[in-house]
Amino acid sequence: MRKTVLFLISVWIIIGLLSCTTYSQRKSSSNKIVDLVNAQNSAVLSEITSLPFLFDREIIVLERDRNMIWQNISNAGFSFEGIISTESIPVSSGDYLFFGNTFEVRTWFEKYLPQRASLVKINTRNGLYYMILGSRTKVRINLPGGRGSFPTIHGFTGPVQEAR
Amino acid sequence: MKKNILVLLVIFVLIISVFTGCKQDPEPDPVSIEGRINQFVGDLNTASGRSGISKHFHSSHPFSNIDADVLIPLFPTLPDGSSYSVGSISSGDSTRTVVINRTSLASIGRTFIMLAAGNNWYILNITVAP
Amino acid sequence: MKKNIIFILIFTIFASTLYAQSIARVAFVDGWVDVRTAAGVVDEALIGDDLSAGSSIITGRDGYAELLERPSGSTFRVSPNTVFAIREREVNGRNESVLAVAVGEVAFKVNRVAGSGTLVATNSTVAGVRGTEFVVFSGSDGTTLIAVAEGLVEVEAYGRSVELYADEAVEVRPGSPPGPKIQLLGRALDFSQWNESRRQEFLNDPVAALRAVDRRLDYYNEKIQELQPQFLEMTERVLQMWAELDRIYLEQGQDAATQYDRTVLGPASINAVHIGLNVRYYALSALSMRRFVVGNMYAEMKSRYITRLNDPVFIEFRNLYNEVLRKFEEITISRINATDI
Repeated sequence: MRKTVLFLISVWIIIGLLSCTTYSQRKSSSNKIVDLVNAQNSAVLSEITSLPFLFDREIIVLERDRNMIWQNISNAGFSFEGIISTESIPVSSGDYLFFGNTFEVRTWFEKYLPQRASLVKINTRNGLYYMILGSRTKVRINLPGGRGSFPTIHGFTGPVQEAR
Repeated sequence: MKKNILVLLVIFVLIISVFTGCKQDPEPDPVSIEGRINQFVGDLNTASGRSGISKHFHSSHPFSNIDADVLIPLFPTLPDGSSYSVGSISSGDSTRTVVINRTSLASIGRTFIMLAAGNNWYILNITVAP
Repeated sequence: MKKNIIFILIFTIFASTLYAQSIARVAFVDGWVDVRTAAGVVDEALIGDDLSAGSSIITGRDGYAELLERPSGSTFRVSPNTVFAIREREVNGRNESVLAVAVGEVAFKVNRVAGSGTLVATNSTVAGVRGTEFVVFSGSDGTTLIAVAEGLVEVEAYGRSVELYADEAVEVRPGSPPGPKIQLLGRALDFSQWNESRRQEFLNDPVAALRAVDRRLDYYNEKIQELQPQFLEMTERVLQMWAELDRIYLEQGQDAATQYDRTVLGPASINAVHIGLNVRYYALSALSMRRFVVGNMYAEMKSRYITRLNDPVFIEFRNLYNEVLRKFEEITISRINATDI
């Protein structure tokens, strides 16, 4: 009986620790993406962005266009300046409004939103941005700054007005 | 001890082979002419079937653009309790005359011109039966 | 009216079959190539795949595919970064297969028996072809370049047509008739170089480029607004015929109902469906242009101007873009389904 109780307590502690790890992983996942954007690392950003990619109200299906977006954003010198807060929560059904209230955006959320995706809200001095992140992916090719695994990027929009 | 290790190893190999060796989704059976017509008529009776109705048509025909709204004049939705069913399919080559029954209502005759794509048959065109 | 005459002329020259009996099969694949099915599911393209109803081929930056059309034996070579769909539509009671290059490069080698033909559609034009070898470049700004290696291609847009023979090409901007003929003089065309030149022209005046695309989208919306009420009216009449069918059945029996179906209801219902299918054709063409041309333009502009969103050029572009999307939501979307996205 004692052994069983000790066993159950140990399991409970382990699960608790793992949950903490998952939460901190999720938190550090969005930080990893912020770091990539701020480092203007378009190569890795392209590599970890899945298709179809939701960019504002546009559904991007071609690799060429996805790569062009990140290349242009990097070339423009964009960064998440003066981050006020970063928040990561599970995506909910009404979150399409942050991207746009159109039939296509609503359809993307219904058809292409992966399970267990998270909505990352990045509040900065130059505006409020949202990203949809999914499960981790290892970068397939050797890219500078690309070591390790990163969350998959499924969507990006901003700067937005709060509560569209 | 050695026996236990061997038993565990065998179980481990069996478990791995279940996940890697077996096909998770076996190839579906090819769809015959009769099968396609039956599936099509069956799909006329449900909202989800009607919304996906274009999958029964071959790409080389305007019907490949069809949706549930466009389908209505050809096969309107029936009142509750009534449904479409296949009465008969003529034998022959790729052109078949099909009698389509509607519960307690008039039956209609339509000619289905079929076309194979790989192992599956699709509807190429639907006209009025002579 | 003029446009209709041109279509009829093209059709009588090139098409005579009641319906096309052709299959496109994936004969070769290299790199990243996907098939998008009618249900909107995207899956890896494999050799031997047949393009089922409403599906299209999408190639990645290293993707390449060859399709074999049967029984004609025509081949289509799909280059990287290309979206290519096989559809059909009805013109004046006859069905025409339409090979749609939404964006990218496709090389065609079309074998057609005498008296039958096919159409190639892009965001800015429709071309009738017969027994010929040619390449279609569909630019990211909606411009089309068609270059003929062998045979004859008739390119039509906005009521004007140009006949191209071997070693000739023509460029068609969206919302405009075909440009002057270009003599290739044995030169091979490089799609990425041509597309880059189109891109540069777009960046020089993005608002003008988007306006040209908007004109083409307006054409599609006009056709939808013209045909959709006809379809609805015909549907209403046909539903009344269905009620009449059942009345005849109850009063006079199945034989009388069959006679009525054969002579009145059946033909009317099929006629109504074909009008509806034409509406869908224009809606899907508009969707293709909106996704691959307007979408690309917006992505380019937003990503370039992301640090200077108050720039007057971007503001003017964005205002026009919002208007394009508003019309699309108001008119085109009514004839689009989730499976089309």
